[in-house]
Amino acid sequence: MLDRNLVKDILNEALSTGGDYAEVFVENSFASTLQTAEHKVKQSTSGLVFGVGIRIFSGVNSVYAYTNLSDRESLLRTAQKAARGILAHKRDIVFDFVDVEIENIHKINKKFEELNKSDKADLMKKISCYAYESSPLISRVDATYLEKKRHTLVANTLGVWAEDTLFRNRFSLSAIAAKDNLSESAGNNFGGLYGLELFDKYDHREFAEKVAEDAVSKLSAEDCPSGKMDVIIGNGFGGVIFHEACGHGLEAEAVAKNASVFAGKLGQKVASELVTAYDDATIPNAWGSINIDDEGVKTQRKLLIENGILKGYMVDRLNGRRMEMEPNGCARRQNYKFAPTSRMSNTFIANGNSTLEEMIANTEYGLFAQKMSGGSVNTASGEFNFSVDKAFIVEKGKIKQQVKGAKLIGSGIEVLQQIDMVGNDMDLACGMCGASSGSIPTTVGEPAVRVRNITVGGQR
Amino acid sequence: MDAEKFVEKLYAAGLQQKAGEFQIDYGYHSSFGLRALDGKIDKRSFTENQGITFSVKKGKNIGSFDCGELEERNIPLIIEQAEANALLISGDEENFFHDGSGSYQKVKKSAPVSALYAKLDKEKYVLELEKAAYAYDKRIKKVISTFLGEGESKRFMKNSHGLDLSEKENRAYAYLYLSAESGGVTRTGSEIVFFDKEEDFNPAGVAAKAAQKALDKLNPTNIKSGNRKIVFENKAFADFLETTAGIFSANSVQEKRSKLVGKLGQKIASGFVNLVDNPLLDGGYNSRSFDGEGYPCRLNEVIKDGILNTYLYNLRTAHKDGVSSTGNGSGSGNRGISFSNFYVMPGMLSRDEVLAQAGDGVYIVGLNGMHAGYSSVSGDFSFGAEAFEIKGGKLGRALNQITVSGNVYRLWNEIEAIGGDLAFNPSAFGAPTVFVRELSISNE
Repeated sequence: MLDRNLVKDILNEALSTGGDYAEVFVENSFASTLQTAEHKVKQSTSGLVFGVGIRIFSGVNSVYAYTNLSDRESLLRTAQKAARGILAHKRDIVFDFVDVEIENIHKINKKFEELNKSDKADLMKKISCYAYESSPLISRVDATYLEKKRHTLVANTLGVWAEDTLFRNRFSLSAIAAKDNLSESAGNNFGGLYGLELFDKYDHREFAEKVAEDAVSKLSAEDCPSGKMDVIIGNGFGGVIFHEACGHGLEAEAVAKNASVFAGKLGQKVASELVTAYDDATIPNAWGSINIDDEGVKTQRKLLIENGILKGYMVDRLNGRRMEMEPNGCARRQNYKFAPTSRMSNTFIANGNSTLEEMIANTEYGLFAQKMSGGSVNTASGEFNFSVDKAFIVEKGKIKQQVKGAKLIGSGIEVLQQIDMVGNDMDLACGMCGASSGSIPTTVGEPAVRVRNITVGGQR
Repeated sequence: MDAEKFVEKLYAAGLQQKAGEFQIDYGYHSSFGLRALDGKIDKRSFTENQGITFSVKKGKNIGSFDCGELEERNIPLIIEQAEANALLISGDEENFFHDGSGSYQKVKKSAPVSALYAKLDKEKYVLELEKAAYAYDKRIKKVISTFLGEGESKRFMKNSHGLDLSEKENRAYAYLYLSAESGGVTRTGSEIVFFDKEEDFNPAGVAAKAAQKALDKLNPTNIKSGNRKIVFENKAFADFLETTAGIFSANSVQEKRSKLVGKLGQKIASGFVNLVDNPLLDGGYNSRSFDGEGYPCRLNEVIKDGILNTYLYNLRTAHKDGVSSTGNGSGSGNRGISFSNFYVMPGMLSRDEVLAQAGDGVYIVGLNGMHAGYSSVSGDFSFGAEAFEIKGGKLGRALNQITVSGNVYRLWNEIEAIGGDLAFNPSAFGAPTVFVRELSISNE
C-alpha cells in the first residue's frame, strides 16, 4: 500500500484546480484459478493486480484517472492530468486522515494456503468423479475453482482512510450428458467470502449428482411451449428476476439520470403488496457481501421495497449529489480500472406466507421455472428477459413434463405487480453482475414466487 | 520501474532459471474519455496501465502468471508461480511457443481518419451529439449516455525460441444511447462510430441514426406466438454470430462442446452460405498480422458454399488434429481460440429485396439476454428480441418485445437468402441481412 504522505500529496494535487472532493483507491489483489476436466488439470493460472484510481468531483462533474505505474512521479502526474479536467476556483480544503475502523464480519477458518494447489485439484477431480459415477450418460465434467484475496485502500479529502482485505472463493461444476445424437449440459456452483471451509459446507456427492441429474433429465425434456402463462419461479437463483427486473432500476446510476422507470417513485406502490425486498451487503460470508464499499462508506442493509411501496435506492457518492441523497455504502467496482458506482450486493425478496406446494396446487396451467439461468434488463424501458434452465409444465395443480429452452420476457414494473403468491423458502445464490463499473460478485435471492401471465418463449 | 528494463531483467532471470522454454507478453494501454450530460461535460477519464504475462513450458504444458506491478522484487514470484502452474497442469495435449517462422502479412487496422480526427474539437463534438439528439424529435425523452473515448495500445511478445513481435493500435469512438417516449411506452436506440469514415465526424448525422432507431420502435403492436419467417437485420445477425461462433472453434469441437465434431467436408449450411475469418481485411476492427500466440494470420474460409471447410485452430488444437494453426490462438494466459474479423460473406440482394422475398414474417433488429439463452452443447437458443412485423414484403409496425427460439445447427441449413449489406458490430463479427425459413417466436 502507499505511504500516507504520498496519498496526501496525490489528493492535494488532485484538488489543485478547484475540485471540491478527491479520492484515492489502491488495489492489490492476488487471484488464482484451477480448472479440471476429464480427470485432469486443464488450466492453472494466477495473477497479481496492482493499481491506483484517482477521482475528483466538482459539484456533479467528475474526473476519473487510473494508473498502475506506482512510483511517486507517475502517481502525481496522473493526479495532475486528472486535475486538468476540473476548471474551478481553487478552494481551501484541509484534511487529516482518520482510520475508519472496519470490523471484518466475514470470518475465515481455513486459509487458502492450508492446501496446496495440487490438493485442491485432487478435491475438484474427486467431486467431478461423483458426477461421472452417477450416470453412464455423463460424457464430460468440468470443474472450476477460483480464489481471490483483495486488499484495498480508500482515502479521500473528507479524511477517510479505510483499508480492508476480503477473501472470496467459488467452486463451479458443469456436466454434459449425451445420448444418441442429443447433448445437454447443466451446472451449479457455490461460493462466498470463505476460506477453504467453503468445501465443508456442502455434501460433495449430493451436489455433483444433482448437476449430473439436471444434465441427464434435459435429454428427455420437450421443447417449451410459447405464449402467456402463469409462472412459478423457484427460490434461490430465481431471484435473478428481481435483480434484472427491478434491482438495476433502483441503482442511483440509472435513477439520477432519470433513466430508470423507478425514478421519482419513492413512496409509491411499485409492486404487489406481497413484495418486500432488500439489498443487504452485511450478510456474513455471503458471495456479494463487503465490509466497506469502494468509496470508503460502511455498508448497510437497505430496504428497497416494503409491502409493495418503493422505500429506497442504492446510492453512491456522485449520483447522491444529483439526487440530494446520502451515499449508503453500495459503491462498487470490478477493480481499479473502473470508477465506482451504485451496484447491488446481496439482493433478495423476503419470505412470504405461501408454500411452493400451494402455488403448484393452485395453478391451472403454467410453468414451474425451478432453476433460472441469467438475463438482462433495459433499465430505460424496463423490459427484461431471462432464461430458464430447468422447467416443468404445471397442469391442473400438478407438475407434468419437463421442458427446455424457456425464456421469460416482460416489463419490470408489470411483473412486480403481477406477483400473487410469495413463498417461505428464501434462499440465496451466487452470480456475477456486469455494468458500467465492471463485473462484480453479487448474490440474488428469493423464496418461490408465482407471477400471473408472463410471456414465455420456447421452440414449440 | 521502467517497463523495458523490467522486461529485460525478467528475460535474463528466465534464461538463468534453466527453465527451458518461456515467453513474455507485455501490454500497455492508455485512454482518454469525455461524457456529456444535460449540456455539460460531466465526466472525464484518463487512464494508463501496463502488465506482463510470463509463461513457461514444463513437459507438455504451459503455465503462466499475470503481473500488473512491474517491480523487480516481483520477479522471483512471477517465475515461481508460472512454473508451479505449468507443473500442475496434466493435459495430454502438447502446448507450444511459436518460433516466429512463417510469413507475416502487413495489415491495415481500423483507425480514425487522422487528418480529420486531429482537428476534432472533442468537447464540442459530444456536446453537439447530445444537443442534436434532443433536437431531432420532441419524443426523445432522455439522452442517457453521450461518450467519446480514445485509446492507444502497445504490446510485444518475446520468447526463448526467438519470437520477437510488437504492434500498436489507436482507436477512437463516440457512443450515443437515448430513449424516446410516446403513449407511455419508452424505447431506446444507440449508435457507435469509430471516426474511420468522414460521416462519423458529423454529430447531427450520428444523433439522427440513434434517435430514429428509438423512434421507429414506438407505438408497438403485438403478434400471435408461433413459427414465423425471420429476417435478421445485418448487425442483429452479427450479434447472433458472436454469441454462437464458438461452435467453429477447434477447442470446442475437441472438448465435445460443439456438435460440428466429425462434420468437416460435410454440408452444414445452405449452399450459398460462405463464412470467413479474415484477419487481413483492410481497415477491419480486428485485423492483425499475428494472433495471440504470435502465429502468422491468414484468411480462413470456414464455410465454403455450405460445406464446413475448417475449424479455427491455435497451436495446441492444431497439433492434436495433425494440421497447422489457422492463426486463431488467443492470449498467452489461457491459450484458447480467438476470432479476427468473422463474418458471413454478403450476397447480391438489397435488404428490401430480402424482405420482399420473406413476404410475411418478423424482422429482428436487436437481441437480448444472449449469454444465458444459449447452449453450445445442444445448439438451442432462446433470446429476447426487438422486432418489427413484415407484411406483404414490406416493413410494418414495431412489435412489443418478443422471444425468438431455435437451434443454431438447424438455422445454418435454413437460411433462405442473404443480403449484400455486410455490416460489423463493434467486436469484429459481421453479417449482411439474413433470412431464415422459420423460428419460433413468442409475443402474445
